[in-house]
Amino acid sequence: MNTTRRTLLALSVSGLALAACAGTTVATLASDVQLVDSGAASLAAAVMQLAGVPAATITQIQGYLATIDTGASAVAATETTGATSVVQQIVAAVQALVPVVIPLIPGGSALEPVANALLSMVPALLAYVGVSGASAAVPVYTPDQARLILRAAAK
Amino acid sequence: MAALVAPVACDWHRTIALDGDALGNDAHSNCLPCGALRSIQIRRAVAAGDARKPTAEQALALYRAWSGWDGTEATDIGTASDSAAVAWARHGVTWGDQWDDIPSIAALDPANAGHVKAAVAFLGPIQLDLNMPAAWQGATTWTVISGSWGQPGTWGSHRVCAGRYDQQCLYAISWGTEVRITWAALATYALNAEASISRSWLEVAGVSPTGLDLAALEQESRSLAV
Repeated sequence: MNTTRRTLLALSVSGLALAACAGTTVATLASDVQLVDSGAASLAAAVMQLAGVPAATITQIQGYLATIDTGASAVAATETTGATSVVQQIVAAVQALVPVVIPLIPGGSALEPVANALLSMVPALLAYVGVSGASAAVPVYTPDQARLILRAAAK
Repeated sequence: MAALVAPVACDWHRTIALDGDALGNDAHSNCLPCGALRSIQIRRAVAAGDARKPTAEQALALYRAWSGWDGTEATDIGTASDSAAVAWARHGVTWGDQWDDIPSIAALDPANAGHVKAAVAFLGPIQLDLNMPAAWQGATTWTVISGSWGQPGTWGSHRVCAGRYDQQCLYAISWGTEVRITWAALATYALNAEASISRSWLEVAGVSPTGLDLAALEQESRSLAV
């Protein structure tokens, strides 16, 4: 939330109150980003151990993981929820990573729910930082369900 | 705004024909540009009798400009509402060959139904960001839903344009169709709301809301850093 803009605009029209994203905390955002970071790392580690994964694909996956990890560190270090661009970079990396790993996952594997859980966290992460853009399709899991899956995957 | 008494019902949507055109939002996360273009469509229809309709090409071009979408799936992640509001207020949105829509933007509390009604009635269609519950998928009336799939955000954050209300509901345009949002649901699921204030609208509507310093608002909106 850009406080400067909100403050300016709210001041401009008497009687119009400052809107706020209820329930959003820096700690929750950082916690969810950390879950995505650890879940992505676990998913990628398992996929990269599968036989026949091309070296170029492994390099590609590692690049996405580095983006997610760097972003997670940045979010953990920030004191405000103004980490919009960082969260967008993390989400972009997740959305690039999952389509790369999904075809490599054997059918029925326990890795598939982890991949879907990562994608299911995307709307929540974006909502934290004021990004609107829900796709027409509903995520596979609720944020709470996705958190449970990602916590289990990270163990 | 507090001094204005909104009528019991208002319908600006009647000035346009909704044809179910999602403007690309059925395939991309460009809801925010779609909301802006629908608002402009309504404002221009009311203020100038303009019958032009927005297109998917326009909505996607605006999406590129406002969000940094590069045409790939990875960057198709939506638009930051704050930065989009600043871009809209500073640079405007081209509407036809001879009109740039450059409104001033003001935040309002979506949980305050009186303010929302007054904004719609006197300033025209507003922009809403909703923390959508998954249970709303396929529904034409959005209500407060209990249970895990009724939790805010289980679908994601979604921008809609809203230019109609009555005593029971606010009506929004989403994916090219009109949906009803009960006032309780609006208070529960709305993240924020913005009124886009247009001088041409105020002149045509003949309103001068008490407490609205339009000149100061325009100056502040134009001077905001991107």
